[in-house]
Amino acid sequence: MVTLDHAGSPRGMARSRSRGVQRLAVAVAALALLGLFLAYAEASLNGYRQQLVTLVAINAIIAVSLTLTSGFTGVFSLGQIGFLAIGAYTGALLTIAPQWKSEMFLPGLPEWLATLDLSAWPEQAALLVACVAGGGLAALVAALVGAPLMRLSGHYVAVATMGFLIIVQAVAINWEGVTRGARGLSQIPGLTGLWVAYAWVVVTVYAVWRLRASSFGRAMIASRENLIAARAIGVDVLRKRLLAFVVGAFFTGVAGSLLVHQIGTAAPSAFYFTTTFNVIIMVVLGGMGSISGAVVGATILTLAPEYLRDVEDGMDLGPLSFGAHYGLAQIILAVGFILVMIFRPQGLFGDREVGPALLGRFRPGRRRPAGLSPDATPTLAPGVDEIPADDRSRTG
Amino acid sequence: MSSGLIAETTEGRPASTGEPILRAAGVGRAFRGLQALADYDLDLRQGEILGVIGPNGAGKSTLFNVITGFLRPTSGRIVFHGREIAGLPPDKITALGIARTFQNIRLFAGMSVLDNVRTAQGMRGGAGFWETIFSAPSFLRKERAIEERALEHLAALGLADLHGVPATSLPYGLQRKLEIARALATEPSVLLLDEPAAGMNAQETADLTQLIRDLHARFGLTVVVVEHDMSLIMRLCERIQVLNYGRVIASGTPAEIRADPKVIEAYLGADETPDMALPTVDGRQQTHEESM
Ligand SMILES: Nc1ncnc2c1ncn2[C@@H]1O[C@H](COP(=O)(O)OP(=O)(O)O)[C@@H](O)[C@H]1O
Ligand SMILES: [Mg+2]
Repeated sequence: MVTLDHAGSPRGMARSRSRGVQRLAVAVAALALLGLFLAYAEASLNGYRQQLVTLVAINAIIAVSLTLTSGFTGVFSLGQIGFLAIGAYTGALLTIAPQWKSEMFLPGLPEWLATLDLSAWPEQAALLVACVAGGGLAALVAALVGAPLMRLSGHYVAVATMGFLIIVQAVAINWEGVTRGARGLSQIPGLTGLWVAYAWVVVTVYAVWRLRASSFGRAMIASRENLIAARAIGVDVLRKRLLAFVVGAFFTGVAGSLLVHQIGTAAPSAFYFTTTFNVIIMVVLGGMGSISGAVVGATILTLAPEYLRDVEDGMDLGPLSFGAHYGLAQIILAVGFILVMIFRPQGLFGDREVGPALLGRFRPGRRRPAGLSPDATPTLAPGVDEIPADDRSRTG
Repeated sequence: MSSGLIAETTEGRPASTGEPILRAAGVGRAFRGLQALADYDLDLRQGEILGVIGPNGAGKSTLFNVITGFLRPTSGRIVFHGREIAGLPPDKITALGIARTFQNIRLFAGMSVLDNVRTAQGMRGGAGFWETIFSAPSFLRKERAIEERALEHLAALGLADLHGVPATSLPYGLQRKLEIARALATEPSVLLLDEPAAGMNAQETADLTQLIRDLHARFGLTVVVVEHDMSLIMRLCERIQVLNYGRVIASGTPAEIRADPKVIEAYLGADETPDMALPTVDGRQQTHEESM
């Protein structure tokens, strides 16, 4: 949300320095605005609304992670929420007070974890440990799982990552000695506040944005745009995808930890298909390759159902009065997505970021050459593909 | 025009130093029953421009795919700078210094012209993970160097002014040039061009011929070019291999190839059109489905 130009725009040598200053100024301004907003939210919104605003942040982190993992690389992952679960349970088990752990009867926990007591720690230090540990374990699992899975493409990788999600879900339900099964963990201290949640949003957006604007990001986009050409210019596709998968898993794990420290419980049902599809809709709605799009998508999908709930309850609009129609909110939202997909299939932002519009410089440097009309765009020569299909589905 | 061309052919042809750089011995590739490439031998000398011609389906693209790691050879050895490369993945082979273009243009469609080249450029000298995350001064320095060098490669192909436009908005001929610029950005020592003049008119082909010659000299390249356009092949190459049904049926200087009855027969067998019989210096070889 603080990027200044389309990632693909060229920067003239001379201009790049002043752009850098400009960029810094906008970043500082954006952070200041965010700070002001959070101060306002903290002072004037009721507890429920504050929780909602915090939830926007958590969803934004997950959506931006998925933008890195799937949006940049084109590897459609349906397993992201598995990492959310790993981060959630890891974080929860670190911060739940020992007496509650023994009350919930978790015989599977190792001794050190069963007796670990972070309650004496400063709250934010305990949360930081829980988040980093949750993210770290998610990243580690992603490295192990991703090594074989990132070789796949297309629907193969979608199905395989969904398999991972199903496995995580099965473990969460059946490893009762650690997860307490379907009942889930409770008594997780409420450590997540507005500020820390948005601090993690800033860190996530910053890291993903830096990656995007580097050789890493360009290589990821290249492998998405044309796998064969990417390999031909020397992109180690497997490694780039794995990096995106692992970093995305880290931040999603962090979000999982933030989430359970907000809602106080961790149950398997929160980490399954409904959440998966919600996050995918956020990212697709925002534009698969856009960081700011993911943030906007997360905001819309988190807040819209709340506002639409009023509609469900029925309204009086002067002469018109509506009775209560439950389910209407979902239908309105769904119709909205369908309309977006019909009229803007690339999502609200496509691959672009909101920055240029903010500065009044729309898409710098993407001018067309003189004498080239879009109609002059040649169609690529049709023909037999030289690369065999059996080599196309693999990347290693 | 033709007499002038012939004169130019002998004079302007670049000379190679003779060091073998890329060697293939007994290389073959079969697709189920079909032997697309068989018993292929090559001794590519440092600095030479080798032409590979042959009717459609002769195995030329298969040869490139095997050399660049997109296809595993089913037999034989390929040695580059003394190192066996058969079976290595394409990105490793590119990193060793063999770059290619594709017969069917394969650009990164969503990217600008500059980013197509910059992506390739970043494969060498790109910043590491932590440098990138923290925008370290070394990251900024490397990014600037990558961009500068990418613009140089664009300029070498005459595309510098178009750096900001979407790659796919370029006309066909410029898209082919952009693919060459992108291949150069991997800083190769050997460049494989698969039908670089396909879809170009006579004038564009003549310009491209000169351009390849310039790039060859300026970047010290060794070039293998697959092309149906005989004017390009005859003017550019000091040595030509003719493939037919996956086998080298003739090999030699342009003059030798032109006079070889086996070559004439191969072309006759591939196409009934009489004017296809002789690969001539001036005529365009348009009768093949050249888009393939
Ligand atoms: N991936 C593939 N799978 C099966 N057959 C292929 C494949 N690639 C090429 N061939 C076949 O191998 C032969 C040589 O093809 P190719 O190398 O593309 O010819 P050229 O480039 O000389 O026109 C053709 O008969 C073609 O159909
Ligand atoms: Mg071919």
